[in-house]
Amino acid sequence: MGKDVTTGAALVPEISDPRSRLHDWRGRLEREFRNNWQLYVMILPVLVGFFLFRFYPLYGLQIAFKDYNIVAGVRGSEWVGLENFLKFFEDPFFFRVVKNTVVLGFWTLVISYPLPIVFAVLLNEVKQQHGLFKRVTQSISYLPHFVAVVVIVGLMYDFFSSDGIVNQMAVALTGEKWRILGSPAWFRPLYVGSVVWQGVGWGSIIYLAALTGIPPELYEAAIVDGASRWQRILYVTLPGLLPVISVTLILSVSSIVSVGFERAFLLQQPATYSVSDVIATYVYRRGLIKFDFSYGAAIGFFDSIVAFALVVAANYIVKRTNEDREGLW
Amino acid sequence: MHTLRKMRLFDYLNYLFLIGFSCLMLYPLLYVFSISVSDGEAVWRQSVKLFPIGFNVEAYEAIARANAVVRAYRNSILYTVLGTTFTLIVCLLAAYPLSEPRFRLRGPISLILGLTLFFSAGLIPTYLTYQSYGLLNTIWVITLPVAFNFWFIILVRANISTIPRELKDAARVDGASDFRILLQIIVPLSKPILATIALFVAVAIWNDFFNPLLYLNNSEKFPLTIMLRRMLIRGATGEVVQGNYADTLQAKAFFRQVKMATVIVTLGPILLVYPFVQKYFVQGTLVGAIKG
Repeated sequence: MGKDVTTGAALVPEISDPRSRLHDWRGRLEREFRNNWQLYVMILPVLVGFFLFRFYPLYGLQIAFKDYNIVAGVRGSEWVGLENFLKFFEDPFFFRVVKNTVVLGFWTLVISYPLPIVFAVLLNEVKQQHGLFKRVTQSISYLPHFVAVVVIVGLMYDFFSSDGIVNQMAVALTGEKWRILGSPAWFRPLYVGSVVWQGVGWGSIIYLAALTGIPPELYEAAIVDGASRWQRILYVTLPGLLPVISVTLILSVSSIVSVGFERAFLLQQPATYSVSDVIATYVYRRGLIKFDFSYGAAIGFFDSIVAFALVVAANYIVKRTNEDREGLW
Repeated sequence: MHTLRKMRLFDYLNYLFLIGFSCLMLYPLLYVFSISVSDGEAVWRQSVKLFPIGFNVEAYEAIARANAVVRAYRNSILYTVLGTTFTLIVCLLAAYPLSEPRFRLRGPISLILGLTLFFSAGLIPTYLTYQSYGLLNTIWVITLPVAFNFWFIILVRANISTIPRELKDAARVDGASDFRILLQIIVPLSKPILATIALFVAVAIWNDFFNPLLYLNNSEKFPLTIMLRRMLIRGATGEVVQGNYADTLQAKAFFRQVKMATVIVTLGPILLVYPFVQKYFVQGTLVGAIKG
């Protein structure tokens, strides 16, 4: 029988008599509820909410393998196996949306991933006596992170419009206007540029924190040994950042196939679909605008499986390449 | 230490670069503000490039009169306050039991809820599920699901576990119930982490465009982000601002000022509190990064 402290602070299990095990079990359950009923009352609404909003939608995922119709509902619709997925692979737009997603995700990763590291290293080079300058620069750099994506894209529509500020400059410099919005050639630079503008400062936080963990003695010793600034960055700063870099890299690799919906959706126009239509926006258009629910669910499911596989693969590669064999897991 | 303090060519270039970087971050915001408060004629002649020319607040008066914008503003405030409140309540209700060693289901529940960090049903199944609940076009679909975020629960739970056991035990010996311990001991001692979470959630809801786009199609319920899309991207400022405007260049320039003014009032609350709360954001990100 468990020893029950009246305050309910500890339940110490003891060896129980086999004959009364069932009775014992029920007794324990009763006691557990009597002592802790308030905890159960607290957690109950949380469990209900998680069930309704997070778990039950997973049950609806089965429509990816069904031919969903509104009348029959999720449960009553007919199973079609992998038909929706096969349909996607044969879709004339399959190649386009997958290519656009990967290309956009790739460029975003290649350009916006290293920049926060560079920014953090440069900030780290600011002299100690100029702490205020460093703090102000940091604060300013975080600011764009708090600007809504819809505001950023909305402002781009103004700045890059045919008589916007950018074209005013273009006219002053080259004498002619550029067609930027609605031009497929400009979509990717605009998209990646806005990600960079918004994310460089914020992304550097984690590296700056890692940099404060590098003991100043290392730098002093390097100077005594005659290391140049470049050598100090290369042999002290960067090795100090390496553990963080490998973690953030694994986490961002999956972003190649999960290009965010909001930015692409807001920035795209039918004229730029050839480069701007990505999986997320295609899911939205097919699934919710054209009511092809099963098809949209299947494409979304396919996308998240690929994203998951990429994280696993990236983790494997990072584990393989670094000496300590350490990845995320 | 001497070499560490001395400025070299690299340092001057570096400082110059960092200053240029800051300007790049600030310029768009300053430009937007300048357009919104400049003289109508200066905007129309495209002579505003950096600082305001002249001063007028007609654009702000126009959005104060525009029912659609005012209503969207009210909705955004309502969603943000409600969603943030729900999130904090859920965090506390979940984190306290999940940090109590005597709560037997602590392990299994943490494990199950933790799954939500890795799996999500995706756009369409989630949409259909919320639709089947009858949540579409309600304020609940914007404010309730966002509250059930296990990530925030982890943060609060980690904070609660740093509170000395003796405090809770002493209260319990004195006959305090769990609810009372939660309210009078845990909440006051968790204020910093709760503030951080509140800030993150508030900004996320205030800036959210995706959920309102999916789940709301009644213009009475639209938040500011949807209104901004109509005005800035769809070019429907004329419909939003009531009044008779001829199709002239002057009217076009005025609509531009109205758009920029709407951007400013959208950013306003964030920009006002930003300098004071910035450090909480940074701490929050780092706590999250370390725990993860």
